[in-house]
Amino acid sequence: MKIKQIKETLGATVLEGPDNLEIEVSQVYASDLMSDVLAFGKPHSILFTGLATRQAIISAHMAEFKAVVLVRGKIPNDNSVKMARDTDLILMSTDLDMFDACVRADSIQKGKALSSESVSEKAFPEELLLAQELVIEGDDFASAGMVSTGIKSTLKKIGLDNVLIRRIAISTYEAEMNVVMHADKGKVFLTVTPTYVKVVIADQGKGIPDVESAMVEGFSTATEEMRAMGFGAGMGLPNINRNADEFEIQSEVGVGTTLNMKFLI
Amino acid sequence: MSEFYHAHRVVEDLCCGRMACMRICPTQAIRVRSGKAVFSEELCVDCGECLSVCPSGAMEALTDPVAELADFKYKVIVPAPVLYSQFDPSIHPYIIHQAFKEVGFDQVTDVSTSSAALAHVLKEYIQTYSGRLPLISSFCPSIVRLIQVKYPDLVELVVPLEVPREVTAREIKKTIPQQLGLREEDVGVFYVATCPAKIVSIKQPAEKVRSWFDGVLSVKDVYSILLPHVIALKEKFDEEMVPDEYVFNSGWAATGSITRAAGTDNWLTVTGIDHAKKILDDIENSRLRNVEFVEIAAHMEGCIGGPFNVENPYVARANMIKQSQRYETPIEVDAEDVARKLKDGYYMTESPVLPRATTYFDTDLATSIKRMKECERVYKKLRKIDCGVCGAPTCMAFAEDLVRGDAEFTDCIFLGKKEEDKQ
Repeated sequence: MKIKQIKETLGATVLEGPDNLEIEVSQVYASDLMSDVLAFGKPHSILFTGLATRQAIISAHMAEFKAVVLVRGKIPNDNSVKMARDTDLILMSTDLDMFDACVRADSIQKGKALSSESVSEKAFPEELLLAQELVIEGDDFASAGMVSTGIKSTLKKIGLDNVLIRRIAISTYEAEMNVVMHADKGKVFLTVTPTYVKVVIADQGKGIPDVESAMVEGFSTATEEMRAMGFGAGMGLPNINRNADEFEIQSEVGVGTTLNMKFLI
Repeated sequence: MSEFYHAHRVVEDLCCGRMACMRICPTQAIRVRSGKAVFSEELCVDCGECLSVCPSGAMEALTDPVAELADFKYKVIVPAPVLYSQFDPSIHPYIIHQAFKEVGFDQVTDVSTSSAALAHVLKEYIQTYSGRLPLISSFCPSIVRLIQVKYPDLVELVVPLEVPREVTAREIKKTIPQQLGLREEDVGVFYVATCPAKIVSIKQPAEKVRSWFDGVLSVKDVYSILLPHVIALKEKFDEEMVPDEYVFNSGWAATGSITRAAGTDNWLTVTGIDHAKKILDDIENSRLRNVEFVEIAAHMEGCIGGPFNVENPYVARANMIKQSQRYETPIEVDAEDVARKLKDGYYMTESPVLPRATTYFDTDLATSIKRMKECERVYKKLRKIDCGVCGAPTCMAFAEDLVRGDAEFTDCIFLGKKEEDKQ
C-alpha cells in the first residue's frame, strides 16, 4: 500500500515529509512499546503510535521504517519533527485512536491480494525465534573457525546452557573445518526455537564417496599439509555424531555435502 | 556486604569522567554515568587495570588499615615474594624480615616452603589427571574470576589446588597458637598483596567459605612503612648476622615458575589480561591443541606487574633475578610428608570453582533473542567509532545498554544526525 492511501484513509495531516507520498510501505506496525518496534518491526513499514517523542522517531529510523503516524491527534515537539527530517521519515498525525486507525488501514490491506512477500512471512512456523545464514570460505585456513566462534558468541548472548553451547560449538567447528578443507564454499543455517537449536551446514564440495567409512574414527582423506596444521585426524564426523542429539549427513560426489545437526534445549 | 566484594571504589570527588578506566577494563564492567565512573560488581574481575590507569587517582584500593593489626596478640606477616623485588638487590632479604619485626610484627613467614610443596603436588596432579585439557593454573585470582565471569565453560579446567599463600596461612593458624599457648583468634595472619584480586581472594574466595588470612595490606602501604627501617638496618648490616636457619627463595614470584613446576613439556605461559583473553578464547573454541598446562597471570610479567607494586616491573624483575643469584637456597621438600598430606586432601581447594552466572540479556530464551535482535538493529545504525562520549566503551556496549534499558538513545551524540554530517 502507498503512504498516500493511508494518509487519505486516516484523514491524517503531514507534519514532515515530501509532497509526493507515492511511497510503498510493506505493512503497518502498531505499538507504543519501542523495544517491540526494534525487535519485530520489518523494514519499510509504517509505524502507528501514540508516543509523540523523539524516542519514537529514532526507533522507527532504527527499524528502517518509512513513516510514523501519531494517533489521537498528538502533535510532537519541534525536536521530534526535526529528527524526522534528519532521518528522512515521513511524520503524520491523525485524530483517530489507535484501534480505528488500524481498522481503517486493514481495509486498505484487504482491498488487495496478499503479496508474495507476506505469504512467505506467514510460512515460517511461529515458534522460530532466530534464523541466521552465514558463509564459510573454503581453503581459507587463516580465518577458519570464525563462523563457529560467531555462533558460539551468539548462543552465549541468548543465554543457553554452557554445556549445550559447548556441544554445539564443537560440532559446528568440526563441520566448518571440513568445509574449509574439502570444499570451495559452504553455508551455515542456524535456527533456534524454544525446544531446539538446529545447525545445517551445506557445501558445494567434492562430496564424500563412502559416508559410512567417513563416520569411522580415524578415517581421513586430509592432506599432509592439513595434518601439519593439526586437522584431519579423522575425528570430525564421529565427534559431531557424539555431540549432536540428532545428526544426518547427505552427500553426493561432485555436488556437495549437507550436515544436519539438531541439539535439544 | 553486597553479593560480590571488590577491593576498590570510585572516589566521586576525584573522578572527572576521563574514561581511561572505561576503555581499559577487560570485561567492559565500567560505564561513565553523569560524568562519574561506575562499575558493575557482577562483571569486575579485580584485575586493577583501572587503578593503574586513572589519571585523577580516583580509583581507590580498599586495603585494611594498619591500625587494625593491634587487635591481635601475635602478628604474623606473609609477604608476597614480589615484595623483595621492590628493593635494591644489595639489600639482603633478611633485612626486610628484620624491618617487619621493627614495625611490630612478631613473625615473618615466606610462602616459598608452601610453593615448593605445591610444585610437587601439581606435578603429581597433572601426571594422574585424565580429563579435558589444557589445565589452567589457579594461581592468579583475577584469571580465576575472569574464567568464572566470561568463560563459564572453562571452570572445570582450573586446577583445584590451593595457592601457596593460603597453605602458608593455614599452616600458621594450625601450629602457632598451640606452640605459644594462645587462642586461635589471638594470632593474626596478614598478607601483603600485589593487586586488588589478591585482596578479594582473601575477603571473598572463589573456592571456599573463608580465607585463612585475617587481613591484607598492599605492597605500596608496606613499602612506605618499611623503607626508613630498611635503610637504617642496611647501615649496620653484616652477612654474619643472618641466622643459619634463615632461607630465602623467590618461590613462584617469577612468571614461568609454575609452568616449570608442572613438569610437562606441553605448556604455555601467558601474562597480561588481553593476552589471557585471547588464549582463553582459543581454549574455549578448541583451537589450542596439544597443550596440557597453561599458566596465566592477569598482569604483564605476572605478579611483578601488579598495580600495588612501587617499582617498575622490569626493574623489579631484574632485582629478583639478582636476588635469586645472590641469596637463594633451594628448598628441601619432605616428599613423604607431602604425599601423605596430598592423600588427605590437604592441598585441594575446599570446593570447586563455579561459573559466576551473568545473564546477558534475560533469563527467558525468547526475550533474550528478541533483545539480541534489537541490539543488532541498533548497532547497525551507530557510527561504530567507539568514541565513548555516551559513557559506554564501545558502540556495541552502548547498543546492549540500550536494549537492557540502561541507556537512552539521546546519550549518543551522533544518532539521528545525517550521514553527510560525518565530515
